[in-house]
Amino acid sequence: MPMATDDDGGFKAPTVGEFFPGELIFVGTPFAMTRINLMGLLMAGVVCVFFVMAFAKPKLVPSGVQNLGEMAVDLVQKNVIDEALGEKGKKYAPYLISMFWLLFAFNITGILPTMHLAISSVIAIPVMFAVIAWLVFNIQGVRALGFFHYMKANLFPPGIPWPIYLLVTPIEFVSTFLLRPLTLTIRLLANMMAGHLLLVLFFSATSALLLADGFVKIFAIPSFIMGFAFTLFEILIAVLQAYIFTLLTAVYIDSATSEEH
Amino acid sequence: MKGRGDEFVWSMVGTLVAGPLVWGLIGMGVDHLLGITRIFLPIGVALGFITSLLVVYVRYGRNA
Repeated sequence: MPMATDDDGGFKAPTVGEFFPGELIFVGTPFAMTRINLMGLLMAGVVCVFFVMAFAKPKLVPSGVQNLGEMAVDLVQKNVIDEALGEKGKKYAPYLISMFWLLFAFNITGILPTMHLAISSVIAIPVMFAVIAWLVFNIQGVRALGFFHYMKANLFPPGIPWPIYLLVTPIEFVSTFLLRPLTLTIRLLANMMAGHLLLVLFFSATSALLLADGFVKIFAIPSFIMGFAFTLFEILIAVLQAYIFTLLTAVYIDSATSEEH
Repeated sequence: MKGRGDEFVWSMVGTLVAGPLVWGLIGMGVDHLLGITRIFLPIGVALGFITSLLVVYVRYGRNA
């Protein structure tokens, strides 16, 4: 958590500077890494190690870590893949399950002690996830329907008099090919940034109020309670945002690979 | 499937945003080219909004 108060103990409001920490290692080189980069590597490593441990030597009757691993896979399989993609979801399961758990790991760092900053609150992370999702649904759509049929299905909705396509097609292009990755990115980024700023705000206020003179000290209690409540709320948001991102990627894939649009 | 409902919601929102955005920007460009202010921009926004309503109706409303 960044310093809650300024040098003289007064209140210091959080700024977007929170999301641009200084370089820590390999400073001044193209491989320079910030605290967020290191946290990202660590959390990606944790997810990899967890799944390797769970499924390296799978047993018919699961126990221990394998049990947890199967629960992790089932959670995404039943709630996202089966819901959105049905039978054809099997092919995309490794991608969508990895995406969900990586996103969850990158979101939950916002409330983990000593980390206190969601890795996905830095724009590069949601952008990369969104670009990969965009590539996957478009490539799969083209592979399933063929390029011209895919573009026709997306850009020319049936049942409209042809002169109206002059108005409709630019809207459909922007809505399908530009706004989808953009909204995936902004939804995740804004939620994680706002969550972090709220936590910093409440705990900064708690600290500043505690250090203040007079009766205002008492207001540190509600401020701390709100900070604590929002910390719990952030757990929900971390799961929810990973779920929404993965679910929307799945429905975009389903929509792109279906004849109906 | 539940995912279908989610897709519809986000696609409708996307279309309703894209309509005024695309045709509003085109209107703004026309204004700029003709050296006038705020004539084609509101026309574009209104046209885009009406067209996006039509797209939402055609894609999601007509056969619902």
